[in-house]
Amino acid sequence: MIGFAQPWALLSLLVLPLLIYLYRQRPQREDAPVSTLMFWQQAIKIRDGQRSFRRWIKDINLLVLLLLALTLGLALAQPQWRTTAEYSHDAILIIDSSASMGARTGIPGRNRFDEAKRKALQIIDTLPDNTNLLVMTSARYARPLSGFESDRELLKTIVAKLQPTEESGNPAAALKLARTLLRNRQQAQLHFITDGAFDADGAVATAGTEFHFVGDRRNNTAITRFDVRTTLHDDSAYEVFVAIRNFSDATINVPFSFSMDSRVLHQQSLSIKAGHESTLSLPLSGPLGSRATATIATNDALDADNTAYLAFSSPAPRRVLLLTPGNFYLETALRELPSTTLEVNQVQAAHDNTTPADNTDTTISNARLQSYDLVVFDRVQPPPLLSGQYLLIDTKVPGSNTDTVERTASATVGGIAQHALMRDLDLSQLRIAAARKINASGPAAQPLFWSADTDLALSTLQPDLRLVYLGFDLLQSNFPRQAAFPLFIRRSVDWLTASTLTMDQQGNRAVNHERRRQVPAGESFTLTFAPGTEELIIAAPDGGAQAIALTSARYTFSETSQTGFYQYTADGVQHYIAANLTDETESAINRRLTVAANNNPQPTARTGIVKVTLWPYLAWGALLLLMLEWWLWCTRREYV
Amino acid sequence: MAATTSDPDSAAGAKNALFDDVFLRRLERLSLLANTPPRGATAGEHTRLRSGAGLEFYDYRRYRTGDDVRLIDWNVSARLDQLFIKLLAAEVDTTLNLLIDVSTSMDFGSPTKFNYALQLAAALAVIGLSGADRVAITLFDSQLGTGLPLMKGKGHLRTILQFLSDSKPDGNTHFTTPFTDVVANRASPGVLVVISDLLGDFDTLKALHALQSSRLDVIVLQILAEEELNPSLSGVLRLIDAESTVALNTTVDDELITLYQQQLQTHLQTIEQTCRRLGFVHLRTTTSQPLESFILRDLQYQHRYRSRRKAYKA
Repeated sequence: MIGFAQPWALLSLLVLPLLIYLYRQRPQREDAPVSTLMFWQQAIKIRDGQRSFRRWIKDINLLVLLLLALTLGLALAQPQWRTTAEYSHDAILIIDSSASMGARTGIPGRNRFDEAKRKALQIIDTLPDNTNLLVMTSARYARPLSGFESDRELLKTIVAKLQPTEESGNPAAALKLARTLLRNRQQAQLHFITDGAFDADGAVATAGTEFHFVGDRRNNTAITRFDVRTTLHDDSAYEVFVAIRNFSDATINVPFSFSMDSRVLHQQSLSIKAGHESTLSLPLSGPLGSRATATIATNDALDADNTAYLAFSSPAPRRVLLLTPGNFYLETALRELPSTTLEVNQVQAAHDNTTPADNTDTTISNARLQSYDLVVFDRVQPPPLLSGQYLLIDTKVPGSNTDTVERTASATVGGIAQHALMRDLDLSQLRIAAARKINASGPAAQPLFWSADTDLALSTLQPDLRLVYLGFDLLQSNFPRQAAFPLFIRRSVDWLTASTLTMDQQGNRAVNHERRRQVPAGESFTLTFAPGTEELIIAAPDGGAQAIALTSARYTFSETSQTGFYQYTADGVQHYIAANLTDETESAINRRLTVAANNNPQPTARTGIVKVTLWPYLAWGALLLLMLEWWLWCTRREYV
Repeated sequence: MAATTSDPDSAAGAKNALFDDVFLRRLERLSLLANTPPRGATAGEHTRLRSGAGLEFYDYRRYRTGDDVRLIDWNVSARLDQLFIKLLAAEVDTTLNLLIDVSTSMDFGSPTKFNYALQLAAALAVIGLSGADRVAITLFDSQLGTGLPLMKGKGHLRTILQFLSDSKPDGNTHFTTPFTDVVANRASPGVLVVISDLLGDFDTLKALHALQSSRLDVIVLQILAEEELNPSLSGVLRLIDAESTVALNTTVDDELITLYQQQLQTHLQTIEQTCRRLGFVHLRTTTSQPLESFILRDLQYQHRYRSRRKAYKA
């Protein structure tokens, strides 16, 4: 049974009628009587003699077909020509373009990267003629800039156009990529032009690499950390955290300033001993601006680490859905929460023996519930909850399989758990007319407060599910009239919606990461836009702007090799993203890499047996024969 | 082989497409023009320059060793202080042998070379008969064909015209055999006029040598068609030889036309040089040239020139 992998290719057979048609269109000869052929024959003989190759044109079709078959047959045999020849060399030239390469040298107006480019041009000039060179840069990522090229002028042009970056260096990644590219290549060479301002640890394998060092020992002072975080007790108050390290050999006095939206908020002079770090923690109150800048005024070798940047965006409001038959106190408490958008859905109260499907608005699907930051079920039976954040009030106990509910006659708070939600809450005056008898089951359920007979409130923390459960009807208690009620509601909402917040190591809540827009220089960032946004304009720190036509709601921008603020505008609204160096290892600009004296690869034999693969040439020959046959067909009409 | 018919009824009129009334009137006029006495020659007779023969003075020339001293004109010699002899014009009759190529290759061109050759032969015959010369006609292709014996007097004109009009082109050209045979057997002493296109290979030159004979003045009249000199062919063609019907597939372009013309001119020049070397009169004409113009201007001029040279040599 014959099958066809590409049956549509049989459509090419439609060309056969066309060929027949064209063949039939060939010119027909006309009879022309002449008195004698003698002179015509002599003339033709002379003409064909002048075009001697046409003597054998009569049988050229056969000759071409024979040659074609011979060529294809040889090509299929994949012949190889073994010869003694000089090896062609493949080499990779890595140019360190990390921020430390921007350090000034002893020559005014020149930096290490200028020296690296000059040395790269020298290497290109001194390469053997049969060397194919690939040029790549090494910063945060390795970036190949060419293929294995033998065109020296092209390579020089590529090198001449190189610009330094203000990114952290990652020489290990560049070396790894280079070795991968050179794998299985004969006589491969690897050149690395760098200032050596990185540690030769296990990740940076120096063997087999010819290092070309540039730059000399210079002094540098750098801002190595810069952050802004909220204080523990007041979300509207912040702390500015800055770390400045002196990498030079002497104590320095360096002026420091902190500014918000180009307004200088703090200035002081710091004295930092050699090799030491000075940290600052500055209080900041009032509304957070959009751009914060920390600057040290120093005339050191590297400028990129003398300023650190932070950008903030306005926080997005939390979306809360309240499903309730009507609860003035709860609705008021939720509506008063800051940065919160409340949506109220009036539904019928649930009876204890009803099933969730009976009294839950069936139009509220699980997918819709998860589109809210928080859903509050007040006396409304929720559907099975798998993920999301929920505040359940007087509903069936989550995870309980029993539909019958037993209630206590009255209850007072008998105990309060040590929990962030319950800290400093006074529930001693809380009176509950009737509370559900609940039994906290499972390790994830944690009682918040309880009476003598039953738990009154629970919290559940699972990877995808957060719950706060109150086992009594608020309107059947005096809890809404207690001072602790709004605080409890607010803490519950904050705790439940805290999935978008991060906690630092000290347990303090940092500024919402969604608000803090900061990336390391060289790292890409992804922007999300509202549907319908068509154009994005991004301006780099140096002022260069580019307009981007958006084809989707997400766009990833990766050209962040400069430190500073990147301003992007979408739908007429301006935002900022900060790109920082803030890398101690990169700010330590003096050479730390040591290379063994015998590290450089030894020259080896430059000649040997070389196998030259011939089938591509034969394939080209077959193609040329086909073209020759076509051409002869056209000319045959004249001379046969 | 050329075929002739001798139908007496048709010969009586001798009018067909070849020799119609117009042509016959042209022949009569040609006859009158041809008989105009050159430099006082007697009408109706063929003049020959002879030193010491004849009655009428024709010219002087310098005395050369071997000349009859009786012919020295002493008066002129004394006046010019050099010896001169008189040349006298003698009226002689001669025999005109017409050898006409009737091979298939002559049936080419517009008008055809064959028709032109027959009309030329007829015209020469008229001139010959009008000059009291004897005229004989022989057709040939690859060998000698039919012909007419020696005839004298204008009364034979109709017979000649009938004979010519009944001729048809046929056969292949081969010059050696017919030329050898005509010199050896047919031609009477006098003038042999060969009318042909002479489009053959080296056999043509060899055949011309066969015409060399002490008793014949040979005149070669070569007739070519304008289509042979300047072919108007182009494109993808199958060239067919008129005689052998052999076909040759080729594409005729300007380059090939030029090469063809070069080869043809080389051949024509070779023919001309050979004739000159052999002492033949060679004249070439094309079918586009009017017959009267060719006979009265080219042919007569050439014949006079040669006659005078021969007299001087004599």
